[in-house]
Amino acid sequence: MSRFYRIVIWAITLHILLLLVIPLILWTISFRWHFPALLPTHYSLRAWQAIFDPTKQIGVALLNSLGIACAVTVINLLIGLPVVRMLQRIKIAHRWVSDLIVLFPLLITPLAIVLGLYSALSSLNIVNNALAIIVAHVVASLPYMIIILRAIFTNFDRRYEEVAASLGASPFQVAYQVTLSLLAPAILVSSLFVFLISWSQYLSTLLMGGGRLITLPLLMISYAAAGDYPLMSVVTLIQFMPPLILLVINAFYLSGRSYGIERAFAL
Amino acid sequence: MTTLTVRQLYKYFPTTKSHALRGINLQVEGGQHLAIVGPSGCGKSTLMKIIAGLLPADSGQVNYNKQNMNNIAAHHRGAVMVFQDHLLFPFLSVAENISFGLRMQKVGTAERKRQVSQILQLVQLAGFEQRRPHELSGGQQQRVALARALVVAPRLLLLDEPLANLDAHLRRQMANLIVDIQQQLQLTTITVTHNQEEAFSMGNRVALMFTGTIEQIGDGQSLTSAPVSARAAQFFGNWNHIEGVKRGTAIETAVARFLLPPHSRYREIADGKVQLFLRPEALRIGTQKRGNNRVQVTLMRCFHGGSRWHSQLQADNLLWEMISDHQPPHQSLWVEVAPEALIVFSL
Amino acid sequence: MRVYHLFFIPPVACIALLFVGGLLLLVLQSIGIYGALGDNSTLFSAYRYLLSDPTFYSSLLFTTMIALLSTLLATVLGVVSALLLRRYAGRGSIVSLLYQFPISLPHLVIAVCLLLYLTQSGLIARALYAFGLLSEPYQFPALVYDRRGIGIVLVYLFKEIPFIGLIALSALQSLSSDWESVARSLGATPLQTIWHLLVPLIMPAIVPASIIVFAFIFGSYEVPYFLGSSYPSMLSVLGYRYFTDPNIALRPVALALNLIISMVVLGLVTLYRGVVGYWERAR
Repeated sequence: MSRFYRIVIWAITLHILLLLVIPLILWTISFRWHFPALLPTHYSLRAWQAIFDPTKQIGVALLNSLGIACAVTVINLLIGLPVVRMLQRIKIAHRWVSDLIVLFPLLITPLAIVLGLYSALSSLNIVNNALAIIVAHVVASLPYMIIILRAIFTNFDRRYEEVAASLGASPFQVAYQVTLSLLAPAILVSSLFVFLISWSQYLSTLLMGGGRLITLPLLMISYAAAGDYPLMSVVTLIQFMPPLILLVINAFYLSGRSYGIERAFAL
Repeated sequence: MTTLTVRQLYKYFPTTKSHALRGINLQVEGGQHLAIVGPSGCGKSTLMKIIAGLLPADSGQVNYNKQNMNNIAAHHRGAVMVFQDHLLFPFLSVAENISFGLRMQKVGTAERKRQVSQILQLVQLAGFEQRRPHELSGGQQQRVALARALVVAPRLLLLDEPLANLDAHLRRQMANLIVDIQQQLQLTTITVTHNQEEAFSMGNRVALMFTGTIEQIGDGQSLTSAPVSARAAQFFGNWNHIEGVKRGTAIETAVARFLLPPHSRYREIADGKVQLFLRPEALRIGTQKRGNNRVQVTLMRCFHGGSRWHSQLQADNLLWEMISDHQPPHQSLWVEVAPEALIVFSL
Repeated sequence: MRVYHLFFIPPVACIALLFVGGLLLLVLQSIGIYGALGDNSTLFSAYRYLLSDPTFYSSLLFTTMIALLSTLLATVLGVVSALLLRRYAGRGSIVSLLYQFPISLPHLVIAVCLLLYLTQSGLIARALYAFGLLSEPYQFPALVYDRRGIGIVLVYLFKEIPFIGLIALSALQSLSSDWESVARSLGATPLQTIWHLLVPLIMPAIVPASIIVFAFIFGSYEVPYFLGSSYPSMLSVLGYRYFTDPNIALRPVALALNLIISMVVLGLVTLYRGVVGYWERAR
């Protein structure tokens, strides 16, 4: 009986994912697929060939999305790691300070801060470029980076650092040779999380980039608005790649361990 | 009163590839208290869960009063478990915790309240109704857990390491309380523990369990003085061990010649190679003289363990332990073995 | 103060600049102290404009309804699926990983996937046609770009059920199986055990997660921007529309609106933490 339920749950989960993806794949190879046909009536590889067509902008958008997301991830780590280390040093009695710093940005809608920054950045003439987009994405992702890193550091046994320090390691040596090595997998997971936040941004990119810099979500929505479903589907499928990579890393490298990330969201 | 009979229980866990139970047979008469003792991982907790219906057995029978319980769900069996971590529900008060079982059986509020205050009296916690579990001490928490089990008038009480999380002096109090209540209510009870003292102090009978089988059942006296196997002997504190050759009523070893006492059951063992086991308490500091049942040893180290002297002795290539009333006087000394304490198995 | 501590200054300054600065600019601009662009605008005119605008109230109601409905459904279904997954699969099992997969998908990607099903000429409509249940696309009820926001809720459910489920699953996994043994041996049926024991035990993890979900949906803009109708629209979309309006005088209104969204969310969380704090002190 239990075996039966096991199979049912497998089937439901798998089917939900397959049902999500199969229409996309069909649309990418369809040439004509009008109502009420259940399957495309004419097939074509036009949409896939469009990846290599510079006028369709798919390649550019992919590079832009990747570049921005990588930059955002690096900036997040550079800001997040020291700040969380600093938060760890706040005394228990003043925990509310750390709570405030961590929770407040998370609960302010990122768009609100982006809109607030917009006029300042535009008066400094740094809108409509990659830098402005990166700033907006950092605003959207940094609160998550900090809250996740804080959860990871809270679970971290500080005695490893104390042992290293007592053996004569300097604060930098402790931080880079002990703490970072021990927390590497957890930091990898939080980096991927932040990468995905940047990867999925739409409105802040549109606003800060002024539409001059095209990313995959922008391209996807513009093809959707134009009613070009085959191209829209190709761009959508490309966006599945990083989540899939995360899934594979999760399954084979981290074997499903979450490193307490879900505990990050305990208010 | 419920008599529990367990016949030929087998349990295999495919995920860990372990045979947790391999043919367990047990009987606990109504109102009796059986203590199961064994090293961790011997399958005693699995056995408890199968008796309570929380795990299905692969084969075998669990009977309460000759009624087969195999197909009766846990919540209909009336076998209540108490665990080592008290597992009081943190979101409920003491009174709500105790009345949990009654609430599940849809007992009315007034009746629940009456029974809760009655049972709190029994475990000496009257007036604690509105406390929260985390406000109680470890001993109080465990007593509430006991009360929570008693209030549903269980047919069987199953205690899984009930004293393991308590301080040494609390353990004795708690053990006395459990035995008092168990005898007062005539409850058929099984206690599982890894501690032989606890087992001896609580159970009318004690079962020794090793890797899925019951090695021996009996009272404290018979288990310590007449173990059925070498591992049973070692489990009950017969740590000193030596091999030798039996010839008639004597056993020759590298360090001494041991004579078996006149009525020793070990006289019947066939002559040949044997193993000898001895409790550290069975060694005495003897006079400086060669003879039967005497061993010349070198004192390696000794310390006062609170009530008696513990010494580590070396003889030939053996390391022995001795527990004695007096401090060994010399570095080199003779120790005497009480012949009736000798335990012998043929090899 | 050691040299080591100096390395904390730049990152902290970045955060201050981005968040405190951004928020301050937002407040100042929405009030009209800084960067006021309207010719005859006075202080707080943006707020007066908003509070006298019926569209604001309908959007507020619509946003609250969508966020509440999505959060409630996601919480219930997330907890139920976590209970099932715990019973019939492990946390590290492949099926659990697949179940968690939508968490890492962008919202808009899920929105596009559902779009292919839910439009009036989408796959569901086609399937119904194939079964002879409808003959023209317009007979299929509009589930996207609709005034009830069904498409929006569905997209959020796709993402947030696994999110709540993941948190519930990890809370369940940290519980010893002995908890259930105690309840069952005390006479609780399997369903009573779930309802009276497991659910209360994981509540402290679930409630904050639900509040995060509510706060996120309340302020999020991409899905309703893509799948929502023009009226009523969610607050965030309304705000974006004000911001990009050719009439530049409406920009402070957009900022004021976003500030209000943040304040509602903050107020809610403060309330929750106050209640929890009071409750814990009362114990």
